Amino acid sequence: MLPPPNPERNVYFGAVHVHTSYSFDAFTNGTKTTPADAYAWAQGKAITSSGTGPELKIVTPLDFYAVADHAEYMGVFNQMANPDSPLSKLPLAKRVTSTDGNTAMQAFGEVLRDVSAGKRDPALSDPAISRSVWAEIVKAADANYQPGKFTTFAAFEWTSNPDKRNLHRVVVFRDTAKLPDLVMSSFDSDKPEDLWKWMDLQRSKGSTLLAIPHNGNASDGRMFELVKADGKPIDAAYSRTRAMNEPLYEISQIKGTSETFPTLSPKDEFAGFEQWDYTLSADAERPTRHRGSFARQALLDGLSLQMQEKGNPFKYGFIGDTDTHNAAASNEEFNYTGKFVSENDAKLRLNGLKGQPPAQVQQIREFSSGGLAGVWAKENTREAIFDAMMRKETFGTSGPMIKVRFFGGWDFNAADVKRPDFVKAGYGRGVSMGSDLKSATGKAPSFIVTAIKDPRSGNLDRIQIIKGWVDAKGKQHEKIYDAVWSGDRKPGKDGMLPPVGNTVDIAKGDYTNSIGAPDLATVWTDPDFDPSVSAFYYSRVIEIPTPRWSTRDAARLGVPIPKGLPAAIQERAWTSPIWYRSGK
Amino acid sequence: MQKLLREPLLHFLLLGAAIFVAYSFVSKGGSGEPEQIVITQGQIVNLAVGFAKTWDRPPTAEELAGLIRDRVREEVYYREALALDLHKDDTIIRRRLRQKMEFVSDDIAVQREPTDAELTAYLQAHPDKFRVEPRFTFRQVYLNPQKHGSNLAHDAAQLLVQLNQAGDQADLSAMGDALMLEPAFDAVPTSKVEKQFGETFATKLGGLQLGQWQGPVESGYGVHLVKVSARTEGSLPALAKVRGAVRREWNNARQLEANEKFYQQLLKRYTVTIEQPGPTAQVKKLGQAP
Repeated sequence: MLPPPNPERNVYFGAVHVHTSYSFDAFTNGTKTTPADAYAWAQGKAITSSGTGPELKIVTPLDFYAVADHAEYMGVFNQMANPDSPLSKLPLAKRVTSTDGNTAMQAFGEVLRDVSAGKRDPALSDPAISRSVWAEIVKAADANYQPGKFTTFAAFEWTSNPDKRNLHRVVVFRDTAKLPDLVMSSFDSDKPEDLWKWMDLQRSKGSTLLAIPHNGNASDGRMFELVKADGKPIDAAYSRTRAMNEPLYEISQIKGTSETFPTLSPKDEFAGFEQWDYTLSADAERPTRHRGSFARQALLDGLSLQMQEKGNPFKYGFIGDTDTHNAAASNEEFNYTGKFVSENDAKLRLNGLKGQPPAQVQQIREFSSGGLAGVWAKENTREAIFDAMMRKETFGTSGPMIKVRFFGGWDFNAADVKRPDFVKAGYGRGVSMGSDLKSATGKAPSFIVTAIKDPRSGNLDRIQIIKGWVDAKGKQHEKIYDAVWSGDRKPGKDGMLPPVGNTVDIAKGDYTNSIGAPDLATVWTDPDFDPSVSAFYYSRVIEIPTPRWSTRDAARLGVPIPKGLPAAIQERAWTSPIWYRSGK
Repeated sequence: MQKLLREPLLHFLLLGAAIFVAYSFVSKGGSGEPEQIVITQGQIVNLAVGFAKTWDRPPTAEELAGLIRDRVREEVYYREALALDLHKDDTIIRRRLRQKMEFVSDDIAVQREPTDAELTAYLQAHPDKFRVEPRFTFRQVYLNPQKHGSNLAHDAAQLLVQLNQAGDQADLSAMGDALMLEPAFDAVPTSKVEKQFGETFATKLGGLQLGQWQGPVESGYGVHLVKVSARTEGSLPALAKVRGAVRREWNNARQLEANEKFYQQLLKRYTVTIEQPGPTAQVKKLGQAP
């Protein structure tokens, strides 16, 4: 029985970007995991990736999970439907329906021998065994769905890589009542516009679905480029289609964080977090362009395009996710088990395989632990979580379960956040993360922002508000405001808040929560508001420094941290933005 | 010369020449009759069906011609690769083929509806998989260790006395330090307590006496004073309540069993010999699966 829905919404944590051995690159790397293993892991059961390797087990189970294996080669088993394939000729129909599994097995053994000996019975063909990996994935999602307790989705990844530039999208379906027999792969087309066309086709057939792009950081400027696939400039129709199909962007995952980059945001002291500055080429190639690869710049470009009457194609909310190829999201920094099988072993993820090129080893060391998706939904069901994603009432984290709320309005005051029922004020007199501020009064907007730490992770250092706007001359601006912080620190003359400190003990690979705060809350009013200028605001919650997974591994193995890796990181959460659109 | 030997271009050319020599050696088409590639009606139908499944319409003549051209190219490379034995000892290909066999084996592991007797037996044989978690009804007051420093234990003890004197009507929001957590939790399962407060807190909760304020109990936030008013112990539910989950697990177990049988059956067709490393190259024969 479902608990009653909460109109003030609960937070649910999960991931919708999970690979198993059904992904071509996962099984070639040696994982034996199935979608059923993935769902078992997310609910707290121990699994192994390779069948013999170390156990993978999450400490805090997740609320929702979706296996999204690569669409490419998923259809390969459909050859059974190919009249020329020997598999389509297998005379299995009768024996397969035998209730005695052993008889069926024996029958099949004989048939296989006949087939390999070149003996076939063309009179019999058996559509019952024609099936697809996709059907298998959907079956596992349905079998593990427990409304109110644990939500699963049917999903896949469309893996477009033109010239090793990452344009990947995860596609998620709201339910499994109406699904296509086969999903679209980048072999069908590697143009995002064609993916959206295909999605539209599915809608016309009764599906509800959305796409989530990721790893703009590995796209060399292609993810948020200002042209369409045909090289022509973005127009209003393109913007509408993109925004409709893609409400969310995956801001952080194992292949790094793509909020922003130090050269794009030179004044952002926290911009250098878990960058993975590579394309998807096998030989550690560096991207030549960062513009067009990161979310904050895309939000700004969206405002600029809107000013030019071209719509806003980049009106993205945020989630974090994993991209594990081990079925296990590996979002817990203290429990990191890597992206591929060999990284299940601490020695191998830290030092690489024997004979592996050093540049590749370094790429693996620079993998971040998995991120996490936070969703504010009225209950833990497919419909409620999917709808929250559509309305962008979501946030991303770099892994920890930081709970953050963010409301924008025109008349919030400091007293609002002190009330235990501040959420009522948030929804009643304002809008939540992912929404537009409406009915401007000319007054500056104010924002309620609260965050409580993950009890298994670091205390909180501060909450920041990040504002972006485009002035009348078309120039783009971004500014970072420290809204509330722990302790009694005072900003210096340069306006900068001193660092929170650092308790990380490198030799032990540990830290203490003797600095920072368990929770933070404030009402922040924009001190530089200009009603004639459109803007976006999102909040960023920063933890105190804690040891990176590589630091913990090095301490456990009793070896020094490999060069070029930070010993400590400040984990964080990013809320979806709230947009203000000027009347002009 | 030394420098020349390190030249990547030279390596590339030499490799190319080697492949070319190997190629003309194995390729039947090298000098004699060209090989036949026939794209059958069945294959063309399959290409068209694949396209239609994605796009919900048949391919245009031009699109179909493109698919066929691509199929020819694939066929040419495929055959040349086989002729060069490029498929042999390729880990990716071996794993792929193994995976396909496992899929086929999954398919014939018949899924039949289990009886209630079978499910009940499974439920009782695997109680840990289905046990209902203990639940707690409790109230908590938080103390932030940073605010109390070395007085923490003393302050907590004082607050404990106050709380026990104040009775159930006390306004908890005015006591202890502020934290964005509800003061009261009603019949929450252990897993939710763990999620909210951490494992140590949840474990401690199980050991507290009912009906009085106790503590301090440590959590991921600091320390708490806690009053547990009710606790329901974990239990094994009746089959009707967990039928879906038991059926799923039963099916999984049966599938694994069937796959193993299938493998054992295939294995019977082979005599497996594993050579032991060492100077005398001992040979160990295995009739059954290793």
